[in-house]
Amino acid sequence: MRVHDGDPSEILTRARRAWSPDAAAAARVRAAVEANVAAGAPVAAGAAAPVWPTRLLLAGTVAIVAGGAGYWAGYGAGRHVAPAPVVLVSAPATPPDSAAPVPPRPAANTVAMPLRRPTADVQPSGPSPSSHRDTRGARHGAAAPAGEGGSLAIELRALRSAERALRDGSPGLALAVLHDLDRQVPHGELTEEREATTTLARCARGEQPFDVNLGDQFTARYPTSVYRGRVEQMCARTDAAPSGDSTARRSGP
Amino acid sequence: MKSVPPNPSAPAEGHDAPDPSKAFDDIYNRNFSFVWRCLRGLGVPAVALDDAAQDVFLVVHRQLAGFRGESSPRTWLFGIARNVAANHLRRARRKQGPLEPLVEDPAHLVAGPHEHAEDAEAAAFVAEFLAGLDARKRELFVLAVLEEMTMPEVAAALSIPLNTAYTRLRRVRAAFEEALGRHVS
Repeated sequence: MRVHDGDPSEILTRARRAWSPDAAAAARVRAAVEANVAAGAPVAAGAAAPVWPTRLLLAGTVAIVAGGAGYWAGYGAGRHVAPAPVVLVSAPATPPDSAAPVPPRPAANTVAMPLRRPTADVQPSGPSPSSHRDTRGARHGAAAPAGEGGSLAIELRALRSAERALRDGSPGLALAVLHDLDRQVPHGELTEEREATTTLARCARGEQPFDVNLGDQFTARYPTSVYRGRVEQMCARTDAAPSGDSTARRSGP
Repeated sequence: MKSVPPNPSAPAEGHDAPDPSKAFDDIYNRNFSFVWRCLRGLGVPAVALDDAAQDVFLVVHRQLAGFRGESSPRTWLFGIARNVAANHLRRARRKQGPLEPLVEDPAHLVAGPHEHAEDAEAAAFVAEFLAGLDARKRELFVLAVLEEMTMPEVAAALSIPLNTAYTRLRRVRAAFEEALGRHVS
């Protein structure tokens, strides 16, 4: 069935299937949400309740009340002096942009919610998440110190960049990003994700050092990883047809 | 890599479970695919889907305790996804980022080039059709046609009268078939 055959219901079914996420996406997003929750990161979305009008109104109210208090204090002292300037710390300095990240809400407004590993409505392409991921998820559920949260954010940003580079067909760039991450955060939280992305990038470049299949190495280390299917496919494909960016090379025979 | 079979009719309950972490699990597990497809249908490019889905579920995580179940979870989730998608698209326009390739679903990078070719072709056609719709029709098409939600749910999600929803549905279906006819011919 092709679009040219013109069956609307079949086309819609196929479009739904093409746009449906895989298990790796569900696990990836879930891990990112967990890490952000643990790190106390702000929500970069305008979907949150718009806080700036409330803040502006509150700041204006504070200004009026403070100004009035200053005036009447001076009047009561027999001196008509201008009230002291009021610093509006709550009001945004520039017109707010609904697309801008919403600042973190006070801790009192956040929902303390330990997160569990996903049992997603998706069919995993590989076995279920590995047990060490459970441990990591439990760690994220606990309150993370500020330093750890910062490292997590760095890891997440770097992994996203590497993933995008891979999708853009630039595994060399992905590896450069990951090497940089190794220097910045040598012992991070997202070990499995880092190794999976590194393996994918190396396989995409056609690397096969000493005839060792990098995919086999990864699956031996993470036999139940959610990335197993993707790694196996990428590394198996490398044997047949190396792909990747202009820096791709094959070190094997 | 297997795709997730769409299951729009699956009950999306669990929001009123007493355990908040279980409630989040339920919402996430039952509706992740729905949110993902909605974001895609609303125009979020595939390369930004991870970020957008993450934003949606961070909002969900934060606001779940306040969700009273007055609307269905999917109605609530769609409202969040719609705002997140709008913000992503605004940011993308400001940055003048690179144009999205026609077929760039991650699944296609993993599977063989021919395995998903027909699905990709259909998705590209639907994406092109959606890109030509205004926001109101696009949202209705995503919910009613792609996700096969009931019309009362669609009307609630879009905050429009039921009759208006039906009228728009008829028009958008006709437009889809017309576009398909042009494509075939």
